[in-house]
Amino acid sequence: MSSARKLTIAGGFALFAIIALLLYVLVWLSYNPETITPPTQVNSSGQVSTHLFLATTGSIDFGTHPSWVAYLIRQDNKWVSSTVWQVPAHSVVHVTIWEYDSQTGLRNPFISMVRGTVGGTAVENGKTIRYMNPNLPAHSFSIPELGLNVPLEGISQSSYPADLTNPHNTHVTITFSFRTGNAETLHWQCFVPCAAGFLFGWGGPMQTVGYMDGYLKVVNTK
Amino acid sequence: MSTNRHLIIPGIISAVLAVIGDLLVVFVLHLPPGHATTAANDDTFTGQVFAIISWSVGAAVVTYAVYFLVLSKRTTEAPATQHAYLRSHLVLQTAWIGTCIVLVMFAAGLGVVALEGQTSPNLVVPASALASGATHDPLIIQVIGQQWQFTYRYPQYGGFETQELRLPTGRLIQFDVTSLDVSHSFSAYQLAVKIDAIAGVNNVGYVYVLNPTVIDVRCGELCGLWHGYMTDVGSQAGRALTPSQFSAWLSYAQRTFGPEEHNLPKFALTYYPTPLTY
Repeated sequence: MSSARKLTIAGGFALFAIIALLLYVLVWLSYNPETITPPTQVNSSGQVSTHLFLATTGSIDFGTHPSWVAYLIRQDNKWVSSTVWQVPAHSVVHVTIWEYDSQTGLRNPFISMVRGTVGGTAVENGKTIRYMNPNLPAHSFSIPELGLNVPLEGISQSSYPADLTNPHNTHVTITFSFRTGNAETLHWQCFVPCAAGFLFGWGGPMQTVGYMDGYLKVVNTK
Repeated sequence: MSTNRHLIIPGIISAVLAVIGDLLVVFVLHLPPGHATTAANDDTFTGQVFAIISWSVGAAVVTYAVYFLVLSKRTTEAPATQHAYLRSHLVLQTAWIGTCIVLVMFAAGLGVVALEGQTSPNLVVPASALASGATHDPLIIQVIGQQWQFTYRYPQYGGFETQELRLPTGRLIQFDVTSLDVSHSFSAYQLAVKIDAIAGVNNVGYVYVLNPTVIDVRCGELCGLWHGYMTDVGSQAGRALTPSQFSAWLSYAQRTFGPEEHNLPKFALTYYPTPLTY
């Protein structure tokens, strides 16, 4: 093989590598969802805790897909569209969810059982629950890697739609807590097939980070 | 140096390399998936057989290639003339083709025997276990795939459903696998089990667990955004337990998940949950 030919082949490989690297950087830059980190507290016995204040809505009303169902998180007194959150490792995460969407029902009624929370229960509008009628959930908050599952009862059809910008509007308040372990990145999702217009209700917002699923980054803190 | 010596010397070298490699495969390398079940034993044994064959043949091919490459650089003999032609060597050709045929037929036969042993419930339970009192009466565990988690039902114990896979050693296990939505695949590494979960279909597989073990479950069929997270590993991994441990877990599971049974549909081999479309 002549030197010129070898040089041409090497140059081709180098060009391919450069293009691949550029594409990787472009994709990484364009898909970098905002990570919300709620403030943490440390109690007198050294237990670290944090609070996730979330809401679910039947249609987010802004952004690329305004008609999609979505989770939002409270930050600086505003609802922020982000489903990537960061919490401390070996901490207790307290969660409050305002459920503004209507009842859909579950494909698998097993999801109507509260699992993996501190105490094995959740509190819904002040009432402690462990099981729920599987026809009542609008959504669920689940982290399968932690064995966590909390069904979220929806509002009645007569109260829908409920504008989440007005906290006095009809909504269901669910609170629960769970523990994190070592630092890792977990995925969380809703298990109710609530993607209207998609086959089986599992497309669209159910498979797009920023709507009905996301990441929970568990990180070590000093 | 005569032609025969050029054939014998690399033959001796490759034989030595083959023996060293084969001993490593058998006694040092821990080939997956291990020895937790009879199926895993079969897969590990098959892997060892193929590793031994591949290494031995590979060692011979590479040794001869390197030997003749080095030899060609050192020879002082005149190169072949312009009109020289390759001569066939009937013995070598017959030996090489015959060896390939024997290896392929052996591999095919081994595969058929292994497949039969892993899919026929009457063959899954080892003879030694049958002699000790084991039976062909299976513990049935229904595996339900959904986006994106596996859940498990135990119909012989009230039909409760759980996200924890637990099964006993020393008993034939029957997996009834189905899906509630798209296609998944129940892949339990240490059990050497992989069964597709198809909506409207009940796929059945059998396994006999020999030893307590952690069971890493993963979905083996691309099923959407979170396919890679559809796993039961780490703190959520399945477990093969001793019979007494399994009994204790059953008591705990019936207490914990039993109250949910009235919300579940009656046990069936497949389910058609609503809403089917949204």
